[in-house]
Amino acid sequence: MSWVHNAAEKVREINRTYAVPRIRLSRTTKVVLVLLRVYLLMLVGLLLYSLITRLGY
Amino acid sequence: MSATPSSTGMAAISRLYFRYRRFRKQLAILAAVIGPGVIVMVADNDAGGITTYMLSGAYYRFSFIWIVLLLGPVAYVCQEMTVRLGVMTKRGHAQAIFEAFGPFWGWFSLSDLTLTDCLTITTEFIGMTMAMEVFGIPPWITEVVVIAFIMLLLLNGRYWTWEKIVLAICAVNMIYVPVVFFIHPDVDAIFRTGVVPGFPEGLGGPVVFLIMATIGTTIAPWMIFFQQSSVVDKGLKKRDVPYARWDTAIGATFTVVTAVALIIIATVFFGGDTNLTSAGQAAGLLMPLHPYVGTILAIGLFDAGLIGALSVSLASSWAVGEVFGWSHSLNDRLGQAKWFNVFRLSIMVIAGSIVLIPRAPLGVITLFVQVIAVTLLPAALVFLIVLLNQEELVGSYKNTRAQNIMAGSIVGVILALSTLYAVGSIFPYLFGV
Repeated sequence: MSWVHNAAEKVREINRTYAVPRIRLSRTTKVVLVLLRVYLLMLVGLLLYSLITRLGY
Repeated sequence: MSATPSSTGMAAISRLYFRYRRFRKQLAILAAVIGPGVIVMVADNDAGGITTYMLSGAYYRFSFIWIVLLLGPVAYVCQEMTVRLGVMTKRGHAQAIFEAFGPFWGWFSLSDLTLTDCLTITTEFIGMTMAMEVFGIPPWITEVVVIAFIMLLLLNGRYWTWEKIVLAICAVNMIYVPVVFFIHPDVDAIFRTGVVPGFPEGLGGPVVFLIMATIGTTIAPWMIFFQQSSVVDKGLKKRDVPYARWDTAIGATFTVVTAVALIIIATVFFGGDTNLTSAGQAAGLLMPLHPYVGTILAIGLFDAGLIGALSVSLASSWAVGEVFGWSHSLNDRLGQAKWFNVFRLSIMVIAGSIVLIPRAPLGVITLFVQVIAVTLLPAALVFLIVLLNQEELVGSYKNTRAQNIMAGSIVGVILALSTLYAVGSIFPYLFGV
């Protein structure tokens, strides 16, 4: 399981490296971006639902 | 002292010679810079793209041609931004997002990209295996040979060699264009029903779905990551930007010409046939009746899948390599960029395995992957637009107001279409489906 530990450590290292973003987003922008993401993921979910029903599962 | 007629003539000749020399020099620079734009745009017409264009021609005849003509400039607008961003930041798109927005948005973008890339590579293998099945080659053989070929291309360890080989493979993508001149399509109908915008059968759910698939095959998230990383790996500089723009424009033209040719071919041979499900099936059906066209269709489909697999696998490997700090240049030898190549091999093996699932509905999967890619595209485009508006990042290559309006409109149209399709899939009676 050492590779899982190493991967997690690498992810933590990446998070530390990029912890301070160069672009400061306002709270409103952040909220809009999160909403856009959630909305797009919801659309993808609907597409998958559509695919599953089309295939008759 | 007034100039004599002969000295005026000499001056004109020397001016002409100077212009000719300058043009030749510019052409030589263009030849050196050309690559990332052409490859990304031709890879646009990947196996999923070929199937999408074939089905739009078969289902709606010439009426999708104007959409494809419109999508050429749209693809140019999106991809040109990646050139400026890559040249000015010297960062691939994934790294640029991590640096600019922090890890939260970085991981989001990277996971979107990896997921859609894996799905897209699946469609490339679907196309390639279907094309080779026309010649009686079993899918697993096609997959093993293709993966081995893609990995062997990196043996040389030089970006330039890789690029020239891939450009040669891209040239085969134009194989469909000459076919149009031999099948004598109804030119009047092409202009009447293809070039003039309209939806002869209304804007119902299936039409919206196919429009989204067409957009999804012309502009996709992986293209943004690919071209930016490619520009960085090639080492393009600020002075190369005008040539890189030409590179992108030439690529966009190739894409549109090939796509229109495919729609015409599909209309001529399958116009009105709503039972067609994939380009591979179309090639198989044509073989007994028109063996030359069937063969060309199969070769083109295989080639499109190969370019797609080459480029899409590279897009996510570059992105993951940048973020994880692995050696990720095509100038590195196979062993030097170990993890980069292991990752690339892994996503191809995973994608290839999906294709081998017995009785998987490969045609439907191909279309859905294009639609999922376009649904996730606005997120990638929004980051691209925000980055291109940071003067401290891109200096004078910042987006102009016109560029922002165009890019913003593309995001708006995609969001509207995605919503329309989603609403249509929940309430089908709204569109009379």
